[in-house]
Amino acid sequence: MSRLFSVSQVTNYLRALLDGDEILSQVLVQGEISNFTHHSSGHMYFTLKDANSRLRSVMFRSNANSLQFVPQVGMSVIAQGNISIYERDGQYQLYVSSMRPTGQGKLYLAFLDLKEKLEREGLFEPEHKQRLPFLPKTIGVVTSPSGAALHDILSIIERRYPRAHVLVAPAIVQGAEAPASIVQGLEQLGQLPEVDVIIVGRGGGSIEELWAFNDEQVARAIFNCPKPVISAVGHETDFTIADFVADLRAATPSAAAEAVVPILAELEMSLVAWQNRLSIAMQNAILRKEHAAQAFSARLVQQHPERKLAELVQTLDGLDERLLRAMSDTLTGAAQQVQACATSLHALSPLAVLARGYTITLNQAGDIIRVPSQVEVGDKLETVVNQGRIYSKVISVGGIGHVTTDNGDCI
Amino acid sequence: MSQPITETASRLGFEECLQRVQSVVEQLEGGNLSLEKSLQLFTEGISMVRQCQAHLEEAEKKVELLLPERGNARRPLPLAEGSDIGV
Repeated sequence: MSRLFSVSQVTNYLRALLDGDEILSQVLVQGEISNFTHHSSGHMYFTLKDANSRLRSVMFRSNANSLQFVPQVGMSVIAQGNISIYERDGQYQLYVSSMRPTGQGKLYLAFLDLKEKLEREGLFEPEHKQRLPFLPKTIGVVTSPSGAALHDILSIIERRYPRAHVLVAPAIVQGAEAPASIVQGLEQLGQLPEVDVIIVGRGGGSIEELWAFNDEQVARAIFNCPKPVISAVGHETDFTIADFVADLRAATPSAAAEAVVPILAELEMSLVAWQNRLSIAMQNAILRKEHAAQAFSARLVQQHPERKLAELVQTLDGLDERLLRAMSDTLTGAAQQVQACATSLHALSPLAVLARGYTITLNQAGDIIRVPSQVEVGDKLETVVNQGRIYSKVISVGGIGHVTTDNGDCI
Repeated sequence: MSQPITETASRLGFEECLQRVQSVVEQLEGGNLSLEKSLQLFTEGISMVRQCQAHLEEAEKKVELLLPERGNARRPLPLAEGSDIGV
């Protein structure tokens, strides 16, 4: 008994088979276009047919955009793409990546073959692409010295960067001798040390006229060139092998000239602008420092010793004043005390006793006479009384109760 | 494709010089540098501007035709508009 599958499983299985097939994943199919629809989404739907069979085909917008002709019903074409299954309808179809009318079928096939070969070899890899010099001193050009391409290149360079040095390697750019001539030009310019970048190209023409730029030797010469190479072949819509292998593909020779040199006037202006900005930045840097210095200077003044001194002097003055006041207060107090003392002293003074009628008697030696035995008759005595002194002579000496006569005789 | 030998080690190309000027300006504008460092950067910036100018003035305007049959000899190519510039 066989296994049971869903429709989707069958379709997915078939699709996996087709997608894994080496031939079907990259096929070239020749046929006539029928049932052509260019959908508003940009995708193209059509059928390729021959006398015996039909092949449903689709070309998505991203690929359809790069078509260099308008497909029409009845047109004979070679389509390149892969065959897979459209799941919804369960129908196999050709997913076209590129397409050419078969008018140039043979050349186109050769082009695709070579492109594939070189691509496999890695000649188109981005890591091989050299950066263009920003300011080339000498620009090499490999082209016909009498062609429109050279004229365009020179006039654009003249307009953008009038000081440029252009070195032209004259080359034959169409016909059987063209590839060898172009290769020679590339090799000559490539080995000159002063050459910084090389433009190789020609003006527009038929595919046959441009064919030298699809030559394998030319492609390899571009790849092996030690200098960055810009390809500039024909018009915007012309793609050649040279374009894929070059470090930069320019749509036209004029575009190549624009890519290779900057606009001198703009550079000079930009340089002046940067110089001004540099000067202003420096002035501002100095101003910032000045402001900082001023701020510090102001703070320094705050810290000046003189200012400190003034503060100290002020403190000192304050202290001085307090000292004087304290001193004066003290003196006043002392004076009052002295006055009080004097008053009490006065009360105790012997003079005050004299005033009350008492006397003090001194002998001639100045001793105070306290008892009668200190004197003898005839001694001279000094008696201190209130408001004066009395001098006298002893006429009699005796104890208490002793009475004398007027002449001093004891009774 | 080998690396192009465009600049000697001692001398920077126009683009490097210009980038250096830009970097110097940005550092200066950023502030917070010592005056000495600022002056050093400024001097460097001015020197880089001079180098840029030298680069711009260096190229010598000429258009020449390579004459391979005479051992890489050259002859000037007239540039006049519309003139015949045939080999």
